[in-house]
Amino acid sequence: MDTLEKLELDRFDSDGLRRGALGPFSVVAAVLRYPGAFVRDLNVARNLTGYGFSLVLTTLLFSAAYGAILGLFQPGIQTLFAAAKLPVVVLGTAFLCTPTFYVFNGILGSKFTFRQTLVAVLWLSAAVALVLVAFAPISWFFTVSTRGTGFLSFLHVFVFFVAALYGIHTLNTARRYLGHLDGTHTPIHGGFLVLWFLIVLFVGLQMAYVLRPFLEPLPDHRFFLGERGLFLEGFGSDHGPGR
Amino acid sequence: MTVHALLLRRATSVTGLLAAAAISSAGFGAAVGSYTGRWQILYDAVKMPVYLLGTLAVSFTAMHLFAARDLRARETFAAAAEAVALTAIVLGALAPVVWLLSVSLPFSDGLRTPRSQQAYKMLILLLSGSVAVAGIAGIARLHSRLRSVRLTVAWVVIYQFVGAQMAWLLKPWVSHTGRGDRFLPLRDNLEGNFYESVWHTFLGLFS
Repeated sequence: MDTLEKLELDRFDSDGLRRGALGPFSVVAAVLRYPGAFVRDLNVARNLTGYGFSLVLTTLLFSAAYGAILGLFQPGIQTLFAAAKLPVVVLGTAFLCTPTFYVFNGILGSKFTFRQTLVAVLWLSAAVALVLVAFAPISWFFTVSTRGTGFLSFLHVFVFFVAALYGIHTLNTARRYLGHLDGTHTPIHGGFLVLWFLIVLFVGLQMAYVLRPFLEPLPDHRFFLGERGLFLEGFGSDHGPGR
Repeated sequence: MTVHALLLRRATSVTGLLAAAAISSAGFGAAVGSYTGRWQILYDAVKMPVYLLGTLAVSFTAMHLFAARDLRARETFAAAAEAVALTAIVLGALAPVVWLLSVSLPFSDGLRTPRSQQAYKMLILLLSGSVAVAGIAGIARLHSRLRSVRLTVAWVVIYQFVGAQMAWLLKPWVSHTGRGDRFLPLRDNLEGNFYESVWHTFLGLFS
């Protein structure tokens, strides 16, 4: 059975999104187990507000949790700072890149409204946050058992890389299924998705670089360094984007 | 609503198109101006709509001259406004990304440090790239409306011819001096001309 057929079988009670025992977090079930049901709802613009709210909340809390683990390298105020910073990076990137996604897909033949596009992008960010929280125990284990920042930076960059890949895979599956559902237009253009993902990576890395440091607190306990620069400068120096 | 209708190629009012173009390009202008900050944000937010719509106003009669056989003046204006509006919408969509780089790339007063000079060049490149991408989107829409390569080319040439000088007149955009204290150094700008400047640069290559 191929992927699209499996997606066709997905059933998910999106009306129970806020009713169920898990409340808004039942959207996690949609991401993990029933993506087909979500994509069908997205296609007909059903329950968008509910999905949007749940996806934002999920992204916020999950990425904050991983941020806290980043900050646990030196427990204290930095734990709080990092927990506040990471949701800004993940959600901020999603919001900054949504207009581009909306307008270019529109030009390339999408009939999606801005709200539908926004929920699709939030779907990506929630998937990213979900991977982050799944790796959180591993990262925590290494954080409390490692002294230097070198290996940890590498580990975190790797986790972010996996999260980004999973996120784009999730959105790409949604794209394929959307095309399968309605052959008359392309809600998300495949070629542009690749290009857009590069923009997302660029924006995300730059945001993280602006809000650095994540691991080690600043001597005067400021929230962030506040020094301007392009993230590429971070590679090779000792203030890499992962820090 | 206008934006969605514009993207879906549905008919929209010309007033709506012009308003969408003005607001969207103002957003892009503000994002570019954020690099220098303070007043430059407001200056560029005003300049960008003036640049796009002013160029349209100045070049409209010449554009219509080429299209008069097939279109009425109102239709000519609607088609041109649609292309300009789409260009502005694409710029507006790129504005958040430009804004992020504007506020985070190295800046120094007067662009004295090498890092800020490099950032300035990068920003100019980003600005030109954004305008180029948006322009291509606008031209593609224009072509699909006019269904004539000859006419599209003529219009693009006229619009670009005027637009280059308009951009020259309205400079500074990113504020090369690093001083965001003057809206329009008109006296300086009126001394030159875009095409004269290009010609002098060209001659300078051989002297």
